[in-house]
Amino acid sequence: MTRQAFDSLVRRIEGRYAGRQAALERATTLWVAMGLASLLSWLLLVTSVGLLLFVLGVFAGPPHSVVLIVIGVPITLYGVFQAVHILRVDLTPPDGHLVAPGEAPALGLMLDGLRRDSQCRAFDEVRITMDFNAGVHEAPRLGLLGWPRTILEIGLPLAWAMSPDELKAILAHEFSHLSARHGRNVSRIYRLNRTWGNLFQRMQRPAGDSLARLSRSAITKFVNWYWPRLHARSLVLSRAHEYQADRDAARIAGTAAISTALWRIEGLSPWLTDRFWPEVLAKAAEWPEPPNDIVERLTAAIQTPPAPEDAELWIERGLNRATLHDETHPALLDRVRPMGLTADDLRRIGFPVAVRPSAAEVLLEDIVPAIERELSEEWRKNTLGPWRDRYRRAASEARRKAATSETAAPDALLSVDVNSLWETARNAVDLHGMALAAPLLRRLLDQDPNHDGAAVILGRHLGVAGNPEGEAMLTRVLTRNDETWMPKACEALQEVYRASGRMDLLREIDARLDRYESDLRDAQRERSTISAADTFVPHELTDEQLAPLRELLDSIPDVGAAWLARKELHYFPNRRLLVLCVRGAVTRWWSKNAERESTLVRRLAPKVELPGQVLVISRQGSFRNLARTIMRFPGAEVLRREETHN
Amino acid sequence: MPSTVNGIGTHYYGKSNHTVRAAVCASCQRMGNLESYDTRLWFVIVFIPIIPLGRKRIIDKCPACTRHYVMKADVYEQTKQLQTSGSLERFRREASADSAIEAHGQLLAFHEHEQAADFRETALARFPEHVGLRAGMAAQLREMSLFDESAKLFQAALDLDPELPEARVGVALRKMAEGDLDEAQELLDFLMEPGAGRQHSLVPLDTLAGNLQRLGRHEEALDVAGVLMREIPSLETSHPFRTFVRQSEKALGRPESILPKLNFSISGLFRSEGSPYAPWQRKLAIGSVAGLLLLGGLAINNEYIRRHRTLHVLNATGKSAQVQVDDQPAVSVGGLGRLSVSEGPHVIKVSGPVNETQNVALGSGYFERWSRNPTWILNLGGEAVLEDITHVYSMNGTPGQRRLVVGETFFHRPHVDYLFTSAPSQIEVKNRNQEVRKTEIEWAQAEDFNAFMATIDTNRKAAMDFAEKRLRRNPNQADLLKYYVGLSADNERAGVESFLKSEIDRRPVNVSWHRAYQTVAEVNKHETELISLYDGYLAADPSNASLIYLRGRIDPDWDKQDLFYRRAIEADPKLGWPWIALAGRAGSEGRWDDSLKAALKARELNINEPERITELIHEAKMAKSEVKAHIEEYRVAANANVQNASSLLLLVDALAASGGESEIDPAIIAWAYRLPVSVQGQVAPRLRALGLYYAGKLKECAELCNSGTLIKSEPPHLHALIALGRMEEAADDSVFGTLWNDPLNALAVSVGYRLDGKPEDSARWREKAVASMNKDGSSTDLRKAAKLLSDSEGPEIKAVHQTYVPPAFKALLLAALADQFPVKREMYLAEAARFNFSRKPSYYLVRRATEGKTPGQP
Repeated sequence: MTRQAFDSLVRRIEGRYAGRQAALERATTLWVAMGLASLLSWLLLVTSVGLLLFVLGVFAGPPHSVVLIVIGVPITLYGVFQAVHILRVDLTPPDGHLVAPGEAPALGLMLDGLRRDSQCRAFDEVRITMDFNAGVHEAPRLGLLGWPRTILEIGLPLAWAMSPDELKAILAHEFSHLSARHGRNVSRIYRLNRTWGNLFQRMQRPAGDSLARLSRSAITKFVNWYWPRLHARSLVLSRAHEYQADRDAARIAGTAAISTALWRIEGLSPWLTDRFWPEVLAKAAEWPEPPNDIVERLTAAIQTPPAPEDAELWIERGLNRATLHDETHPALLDRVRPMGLTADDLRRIGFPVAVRPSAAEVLLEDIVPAIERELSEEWRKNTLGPWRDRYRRAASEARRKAATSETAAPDALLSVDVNSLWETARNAVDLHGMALAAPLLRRLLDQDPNHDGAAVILGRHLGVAGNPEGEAMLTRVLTRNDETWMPKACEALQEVYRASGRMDLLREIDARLDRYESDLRDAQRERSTISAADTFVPHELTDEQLAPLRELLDSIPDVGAAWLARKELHYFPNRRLLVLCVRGAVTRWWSKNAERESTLVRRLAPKVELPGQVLVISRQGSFRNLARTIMRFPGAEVLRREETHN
Repeated sequence: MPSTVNGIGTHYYGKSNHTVRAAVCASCQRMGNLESYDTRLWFVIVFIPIIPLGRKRIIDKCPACTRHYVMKADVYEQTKQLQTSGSLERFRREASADSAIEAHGQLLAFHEHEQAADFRETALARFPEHVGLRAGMAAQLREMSLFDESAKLFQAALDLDPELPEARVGVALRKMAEGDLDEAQELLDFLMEPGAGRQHSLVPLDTLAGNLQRLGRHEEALDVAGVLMREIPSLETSHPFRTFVRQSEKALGRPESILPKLNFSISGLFRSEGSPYAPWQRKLAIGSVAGLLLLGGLAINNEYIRRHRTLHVLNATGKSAQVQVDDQPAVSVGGLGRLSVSEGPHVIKVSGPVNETQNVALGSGYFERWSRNPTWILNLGGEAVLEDITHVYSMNGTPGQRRLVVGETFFHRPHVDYLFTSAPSQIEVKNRNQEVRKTEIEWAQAEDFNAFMATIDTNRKAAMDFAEKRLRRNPNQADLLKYYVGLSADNERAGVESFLKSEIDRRPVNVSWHRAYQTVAEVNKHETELISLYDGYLAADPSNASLIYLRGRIDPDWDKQDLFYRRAIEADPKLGWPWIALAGRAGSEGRWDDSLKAALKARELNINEPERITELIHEAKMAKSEVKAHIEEYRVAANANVQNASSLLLLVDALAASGGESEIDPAIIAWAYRLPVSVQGQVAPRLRALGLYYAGKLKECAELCNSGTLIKSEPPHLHALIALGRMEEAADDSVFGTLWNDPLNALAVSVGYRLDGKPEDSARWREKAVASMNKDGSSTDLRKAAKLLSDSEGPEIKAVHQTYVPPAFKALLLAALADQFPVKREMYLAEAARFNFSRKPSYYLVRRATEGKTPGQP
């Protein structure tokens, strides 16, 4: 399904179920059930047949009973084992610090109060994590049989950023999810996703026969049809859940608390993503080990207000963000608008830096340092490998650079070729971040203004930061329609438009990407075969472009004649598809020419250098019809020698 | 892959554009020379190519397992050229390490190794300092099993960047292959750092650990294993890994393991990936589950079979019976019923037409419940007749076995293939020597008479019980009644009389039953009680024609009998029985016209004695020499009833008397041919011997009988010898021992000896005949005949007439009297000639006596 079609589907579903959340819940549950049923239908059939044979065997008379039981048992077991294998979902163990009963009394009191207010049962586990978020999820105790354990995750950075009332609002929001069992369908869809994943993993093995290929094709078609429809419903439902949870949170904790809490998340979350974490990772080029006080650094970063110009940028980004069709959570303004708040209200509040005393200080009290150490250590352990790898790469890069600067003349450093510069720039982006990489990319674009790779990376960086130059760079890449870089430019533009809330342009990009993907599929099909039935056009190569070919043909005396034409392409025509037909120089009436000419083709094909894809053929063999068409094509002849007869 | 069956199928022929490379087979993982070539696929018959199915490109055909990839040759060629030229063009357009690696990969993927080498050289020269390019190309070369080239490039990358993980791994693997584990270990130290598993594949460490262990460097192997365990905690439960660690620990003699103790995991037994159990343990677990299910299913099935046995109930009484098994509610069964009962002892109560209680036990072996199909049949009152058939299916025509099961109230067979269902007429057997035996049980409730006759020789008691039950159920079975009485042994006769007497008070009077009862009572010498009994009946019902007739039958006075018969006819003109009696009396006196008239009247009144009436008519016609007109009638009757030979014997008698002797043997053969094959061999020789006697071919008869053991002891043989005057053979041969119970045979020997001029022997044999006539169980008339022979002065002809015996016997009796009383010889002989009209034995003896013929000359 294309992005546009998916977008339309989401809109249709939103319209159909507007104000009918229960109906949407039912519909989504049905779709999940349908997915599971269709997934298991074959195995259910197999298991049912096995069980039927077994039961019939148990209650049948001799001699059929033994036969039925002996056949029924392995079929049943096969079905059951296959079902268990496909349905098995290994859930990753939850991260974070598990709050023991009585460990954080203030938090416990708040949770108890919220539980009473929400009229729901308590969470089975409360964990403090590294995320700048809070969430609830379910983990089935009995695997396939369900009986979920509910886990509340509270990000410590979030607790540091929020006031106790704001965190209470956030937790009330999560309690609302729990009391309404919002996680149930989410959990089901997650498990279904993993289950389909198991199946697709099995499908990666080579297909044994045509039946297996047919069934795989059918399964793929079904999933392509089914999954976007389920996903669209689950997205709409998920957003509806968020609105409902916001309302409940506002009722319990107050509108002000929930709205400022949401504003704080909206403001700080992208800031951390775009500023804090890249800066931390860039340190990997300097420090051999990751820092062991990452939570403290994070806390400090949250509590430090950004520069005014940065603050303004992130405020506008937060306010401009619109709800996209593929997002589970609505945009901030869509969420606070029902609470009576506008963008101007939020602008007046300003950038939402952390408040003191924070919820972490009030609710977790003296266990905060221990949790911080635990989380820092956990993060350090998880990051150690990649960190050291980055450090090694950076060190290696530095050594190489130093060696080059020692050996090369000073002016040689300035005249580095485009490819080397591109390699260096990419390494810089990866190892040091955009701050160091941007000048290199600019230098590259100075040397080659049409370098799509550099334009995409630099354009995204500038565009997201609100610099119109970035958007212009990306638009130019789109115009050039390069097969490799066009989709990356689209994705970068999507980020830019999303940050600036320009939904109309965002839809245009979606349409463009849809078109691109469709064109790419068609292009692959178009380029996969060449036959006499295709339309051919003159090769339109310059003498300069033809020179290597002519030189090559001249160097091989066995070539009697050669013809060159270009297949007319509808998709990505700038990448040529050329057909070179050759004829042997000598014709022997007593022996077949086919083998000789095919040997000639095998010699020639690896050496031909033309701007585009090339198919070299001879007059004989399976390409003879194509060869005849090329040879007859006006102006196709690029070489002719006198034919000799032996 | 192409395949053929008996030379028919698809096959590759031809090989061109052939390349070979040493690499690891993707299927069997063995190193070998993998072939790639163009060929043509053919449809073949006897491996001769018939239809070309297209040119194919065979890719990487493994010499060990022959698995390979295959594509259409032209598609492969086109794809190869377009892909590689596209990649190379991209490299030319925007030369970068990435595009170089892509183009190099494409060339290798299409096995363009030479071109790849050239390109590699070009690209490396273009990027002399690029580490990633070297490492990337090296990895591609390693994938293609080009280890030497791969190692060189990895080394070059390592020289440029000693910290590059890919290069370190690549060189380390090469070092390991060369046995330099120390250097490999050094190169892989970055993988030993905490968190390395999150960033890199730890497979090289695994390989290093394996190599260390192989070289006996267990301490280091365990260190590496410890790192692996730290980085990939799930390995702790992996069986191969634990085995690996234990092996090194064992080699080092370490008492404590670095492996954590494992708890028993059910799920681990049933998953293949990351299972802590050995494959054999997992197979055992899965096999155990399957086995348990199988055994459980079979055990439940066995118990189900045990609890749900079918007890077939056969009710041949014609009325519905109530059958109650133990304390279960009674079930009504009419005909064939099926009751579900468990194995074990049961008390079955039957009420209704049959009242009986049976203690039965149903049981079978535990394993036989799956392999055999036992049958339990409750035969209510033992009145149903079962046919127990064993079919033998074979190519050499081995006959099967059939037997009637009569009188058994509970029938059990351990295995029956076809119960109340016909077995197939044919079953396929594998070879000439194979025999397939199938058992079949049928409910063969046809004529009770036939069942009785089939059983009387093998199970006399059951047959007699069956006859009584069936006669009580249906008294109007004249044949069964007649043979029940006729075949009763001396020791059974009191019981037979008692049984018959038990039903004689039933009204209306069943004449056949009473006649049978009177016969048995007379044999048992209860004549006096009979007369008083019937006088009593008659007094109670003086106008009952049947009782008047029956009273007449037992009256000792010949003339009074006649009066009773006439009274009976007056009382009920439609009663046929007196007319039979009158016909018999007239025949006994030689009044053939009267006999014929009365017999015809009896036939007109349609009484249930058709054979007796036919016999009376036949005797009268024979006596009057009018039998020729009846030959066709007898022939039709004989053909119509192949089960009963009486019509055939009448036909044979008539033919013999009418000059049609030559037709006798063909008629007998034609009739016998229609008998079931199983009985033809027994019946036909007997009938043919008898036919020869009837036809007067006495020598042929004697020869035929003498040639076959089956008929050597038969009466035709004896009487042929007597008629031929071969008295010593007849009298002294022990083979005839069983025939002397019949006084006719002994009397015939007596007459024969007299004709042979041996009066002493004749007298001896006559005494023997008289003794036989007087023995217990003989009828009143036989005893009267014995009395005639014992008369000192020679009885009057009238007395002979009033002795009611068959004409042939009467003729022999008269011939014996003629020998005994020379004074009255002529009178006796003349009368003997008058009664000697049937060709039955001993027709030719009597004829010799009456006509003075030479023996052997009819």
